[in-house]
Amino acid sequence: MSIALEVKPQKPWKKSPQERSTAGGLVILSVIVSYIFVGVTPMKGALAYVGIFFLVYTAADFAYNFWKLGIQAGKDAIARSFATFGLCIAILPIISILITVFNRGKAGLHFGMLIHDMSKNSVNDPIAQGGLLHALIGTFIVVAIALIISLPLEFVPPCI
Amino acid sequence: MSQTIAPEKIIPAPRELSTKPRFSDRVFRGIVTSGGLSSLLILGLIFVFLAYQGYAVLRAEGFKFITGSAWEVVTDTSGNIDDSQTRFGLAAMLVGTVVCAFIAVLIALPLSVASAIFLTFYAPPFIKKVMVAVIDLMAAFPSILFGLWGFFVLMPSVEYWAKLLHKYFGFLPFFKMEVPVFTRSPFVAGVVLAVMIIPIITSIAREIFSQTPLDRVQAAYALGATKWAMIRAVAIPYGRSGVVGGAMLGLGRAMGETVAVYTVLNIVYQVNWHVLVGAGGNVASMILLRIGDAGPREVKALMAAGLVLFLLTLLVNSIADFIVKRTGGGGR
Repeated sequence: MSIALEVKPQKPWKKSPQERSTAGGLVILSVIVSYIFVGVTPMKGALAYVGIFFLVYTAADFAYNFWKLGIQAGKDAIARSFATFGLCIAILPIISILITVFNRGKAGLHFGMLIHDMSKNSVNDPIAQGGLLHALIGTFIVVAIALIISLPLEFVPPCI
Repeated sequence: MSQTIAPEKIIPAPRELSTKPRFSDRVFRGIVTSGGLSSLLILGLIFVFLAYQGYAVLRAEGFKFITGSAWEVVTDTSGNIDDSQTRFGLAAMLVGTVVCAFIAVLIALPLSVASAIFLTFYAPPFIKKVMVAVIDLMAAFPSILFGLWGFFVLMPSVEYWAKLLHKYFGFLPFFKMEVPVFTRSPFVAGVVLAVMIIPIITSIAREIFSQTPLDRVQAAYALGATKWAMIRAVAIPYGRSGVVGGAMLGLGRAMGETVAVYTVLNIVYQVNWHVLVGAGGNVASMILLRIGDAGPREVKALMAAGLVLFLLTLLVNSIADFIVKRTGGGGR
């Protein structure tokens, strides 16, 4: 008789619902505290919100981990929140650039842009006339020449 | 009776052993070597060209080309350029370049290292994949985009931050300002450059951290280390020299950056150490600014300026190499 062994994959590192709710609660708490703090003190602006939120969240996360698991876990919490905020700040510019470019450029977006050039239009024409075909083709030509010259030079093993 | 025929003893001729490469090997080696040397040759030719073009001005100005900061093109009454009174000095531009690049690295390095640590050790796989793609996308942005974005979007915010810095840290010597002009200052240019070099330093640091030897990582965990303890004991000592190298690469990029700085920096021919004042300098941007309406002698001066920038970048890179070699030797 064979014993049906059903092995369920276990993930002991997976967060339990309780841990998830605690983490979410910390975030919400930090949001509320930073909102109140900015409302009460003379500090104003987005910078104040972000800064206070960061400080409060780091402190709260540290306190919670310190209380539950000890000083090492507390240090780990501080490092984790610093690393996370570092990435958030590093990502912020690219999102801002994408939004800016789209918002300011969407008025000029039209299909003719890719198939017309400016030979029959001047700068003062409405934005829906003409296009940037000439610039696109010029870019392709320049890149192609650069590739033709530089690709053979690039096959150089680092040992030599 | 069967006869046993003694087998003939065949003594094979000894195989010719030679370390001499084959003909095809030699041809391939030659092609590849010439390819490798060609980049060196091109670099050398650039140096020779710049030196040849700038020699006259360098000779006339002497050390004043680096220590003086006047960039004056004097025209006489009939509108011709008077070569005897023109003065070319690069000190303000050099100081501005170093200041801007230094601010950029100062801002970008902590952010980049933090995000690299997060991406390597803390991030869940899905977020890691997305973020790595986004940061690589950011590295591929053309610099004019950073310049325009910096001019239209970032500059108002950075001016506000500069005012805050001046208000609360105004006692520091480099935050002092006599005239309250915050627009187009080296600080703004430094922040824009920082945004530009964050993806470079981040991807290099991430690459280094992801190569941390797994056995050491596991050993640290086995001894009961938390993630942060593991990072501090294993990953950071292992990756330190690589991160320094990445920072220096970012510094070199920041020094040579032209268009993005040109759009956000007010170029003034005066040495200015006060980073919040709206008057700065940058060698590459100054060359772009002046090359349009430069007379023949000024073009030579600009070539000489390019030579100085070239040497400065070379110096920074050699220092970086030195630091990386000294602090190298991968962890405990």
